[in-house]
Amino acid sequence: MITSTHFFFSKILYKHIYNIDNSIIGNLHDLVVDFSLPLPVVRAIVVKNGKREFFIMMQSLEVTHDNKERYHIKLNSQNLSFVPIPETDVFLARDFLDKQIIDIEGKKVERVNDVRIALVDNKWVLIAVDIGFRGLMRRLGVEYLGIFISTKLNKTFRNTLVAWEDVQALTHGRDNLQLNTSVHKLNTLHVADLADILEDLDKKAQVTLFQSLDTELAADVLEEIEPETQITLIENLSIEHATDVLELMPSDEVADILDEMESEQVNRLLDDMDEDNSTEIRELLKYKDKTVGSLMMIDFLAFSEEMKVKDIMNLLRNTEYTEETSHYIYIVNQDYQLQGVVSLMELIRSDSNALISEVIDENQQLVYLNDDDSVEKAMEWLLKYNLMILPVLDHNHVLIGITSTNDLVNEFGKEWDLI
Amino acid sequence: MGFDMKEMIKKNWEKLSYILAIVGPGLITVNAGNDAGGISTFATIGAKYGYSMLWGLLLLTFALAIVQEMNARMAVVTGKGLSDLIREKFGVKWTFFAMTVLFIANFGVTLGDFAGVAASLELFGITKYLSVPIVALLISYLVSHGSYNKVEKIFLMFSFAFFSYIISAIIIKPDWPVVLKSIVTPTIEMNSAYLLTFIGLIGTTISPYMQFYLQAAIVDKNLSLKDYKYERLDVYLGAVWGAIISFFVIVVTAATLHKAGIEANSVSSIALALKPLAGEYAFILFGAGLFGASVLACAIIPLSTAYAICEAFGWENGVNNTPSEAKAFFTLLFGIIGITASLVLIPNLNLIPLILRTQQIAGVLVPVILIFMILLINDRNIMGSMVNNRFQNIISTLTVLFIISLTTTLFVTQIMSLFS
Repeated sequence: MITSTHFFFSKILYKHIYNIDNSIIGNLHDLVVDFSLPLPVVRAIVVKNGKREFFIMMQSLEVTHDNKERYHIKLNSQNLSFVPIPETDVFLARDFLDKQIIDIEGKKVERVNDVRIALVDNKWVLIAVDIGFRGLMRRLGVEYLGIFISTKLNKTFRNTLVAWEDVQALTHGRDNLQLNTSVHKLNTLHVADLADILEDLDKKAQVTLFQSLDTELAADVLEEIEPETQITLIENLSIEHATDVLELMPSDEVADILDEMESEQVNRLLDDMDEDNSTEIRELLKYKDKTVGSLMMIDFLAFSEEMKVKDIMNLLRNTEYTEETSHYIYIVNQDYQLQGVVSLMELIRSDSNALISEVIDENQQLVYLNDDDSVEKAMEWLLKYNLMILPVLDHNHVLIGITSTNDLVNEFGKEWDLI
Repeated sequence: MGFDMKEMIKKNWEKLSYILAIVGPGLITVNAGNDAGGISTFATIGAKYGYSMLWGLLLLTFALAIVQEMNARMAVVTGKGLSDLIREKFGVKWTFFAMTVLFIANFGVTLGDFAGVAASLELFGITKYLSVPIVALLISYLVSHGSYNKVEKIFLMFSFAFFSYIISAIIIKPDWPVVLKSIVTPTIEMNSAYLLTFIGLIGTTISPYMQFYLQAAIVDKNLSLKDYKYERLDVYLGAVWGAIISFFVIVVTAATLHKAGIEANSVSSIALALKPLAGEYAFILFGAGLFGASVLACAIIPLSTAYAICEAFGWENGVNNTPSEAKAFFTLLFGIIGITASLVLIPNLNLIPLILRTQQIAGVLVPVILIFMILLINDRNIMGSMVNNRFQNIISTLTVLFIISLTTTLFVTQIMSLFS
């Protein structure tokens, strides 16, 4: 027999535990693990003997195996230290095995087929999670059949392991699903990947994971998620938390989400938001589905026609911008009616002392959409004039928003079930 | 501010459309359950045993409503599919067992439904060597390109042809007092033919795939706990609606075929039951209904099997993936469709007995899935306070015990007949 320094959890689970005199004291029923550490440490084992259940410290065990990987678990001293363990602790088989985890490296939601445990600094710790087919075979007790077949086929039957540093656990303790906050690994992921992962999770995990994100990240992630899930997530946040998140998102996106929710709830959310945001959103909510108004963005950069180029440039230096607002600036008169469009390139190349109204190309044919135009018309015009962004005017020629190819692609993408 | 009538109407209207959006999975599931296997089983029952098995249908409808409500509750409370829950509670070995059972049952039912495709189109003089491969290819294409949802309604429309059984029943004026009396008078014959038919009735009414499909469909709707009461309404309505169709098929075939002593051993003889209503068009009516329902089931069942199994083992799934990304999923999906369709092509196959046999296999396997469900739904770690109440536990447990004892009796009578 060889002293084991590492093994798969399934290899010892439900195995007999022998006393020092080689009598059986029970079966290994579960492991109690402290998940708050960077590498989770096995604290105790749950021994079951008939109906009796008790806990023994992991240190009192000696694990050995033979050359056929058959494990033998034996107590190493007469003096057993029994420990009381609260039901709320994490039990490896009950709360972690067979459940979902996030593989940060592979950017996917996976199921835990097995867990690799190793002796590090005299402590038994969880070092990796098995998510592969070989793990499944092992659990079924036919791992060696798999190895046998692979060797016949001249292939190696590999384990698919995710190192613990790339594992984000989701499940934590009885009843309450919690994220392991001490090692919050999700922040390293790209927003779009995080959104995909979130959609793959079941509802409860979605909600807990989303709640644990800081508001800024939550807002970014929410933008990338499909409408139905957006609503579930918002509905499961407290009103305060939900408005905090929504306030960080562009008004048109928020309006899209709220449009699908019950009016009672929408009002409660809007009432809690700050005045500026909620008025904008209420405006947008008035537009019918499939009109330009319903998906336009109301964040854009507009300047008075009486301003000088250099003043505009100075203002721009200190202005927050997004992908959509960083192409053109819009020039309006004192009644906010659109006078012209200037691209940033034109702006940079023009005389800094000139009035912006002089910069506007005299031959410029003003291309714009009305807020009640259909999205089809918007699509047509963006293609026809080969533009990325079009201004949206109301019927008094007042500039009220912009719409981008990006918004339209999103809109049509939803229709075609691409998103 | 005064009373805003407009706002109130708007709110009520919102609420109604909201409820309508929730109602759906239950109805569709049961409707798909009235597939080739269902219709053939009901027709055989009516033709062979008259009204005498109607009491069983009543009890099974009751059991179905209880079982599907459990699925709805699990879906809403956990947000997880049935196979996910089985895996998370019972581990790999039990999951493997449950999935094997599900696979066998669903493979059989799909086989029966491809036989239904073959049989229905043979009524129109189209040979199965042509119809089955074409339908199999068509289904594979539609399902894997995600455009299945768009055509689902067309096939659903076909199955409305079974409405004609309700009208037929009114036209042919069966002996209603006798019918009503049979519903409440349990009778049982202790011979293997009767027991097998009864197990077939169970298999087609509480088919194992329905539980997985329904739960997944409800999970997909992302319902919150407050919507649960509407979803419960949906599954109850679904169970009742399914029972109405089954009831009228049995009544009509009993009043026509049984009375005339015709055995329902081929599709054309089953179609005869609709002759009083549709005359010469009976074949068209029955053929269209059978075709629609079979195609619907041939698409839904392999798809839901592939989803359930992949979810249980944590394999990539979903038609949004490419076949190389989700190998197991597509292998299962196309494998089930391909192999069952090929098996139907075996020459000189007796289609109706084949269809009936597949339902009987499903019937024997029903208790396995139900036991898993009962254990899951009574686990407070999973369901919290929404575990089964005593009434639900008694009904679901009695259902399991009833089916198991029926199956055991069947085996005993078979063995006894060997010795006598």
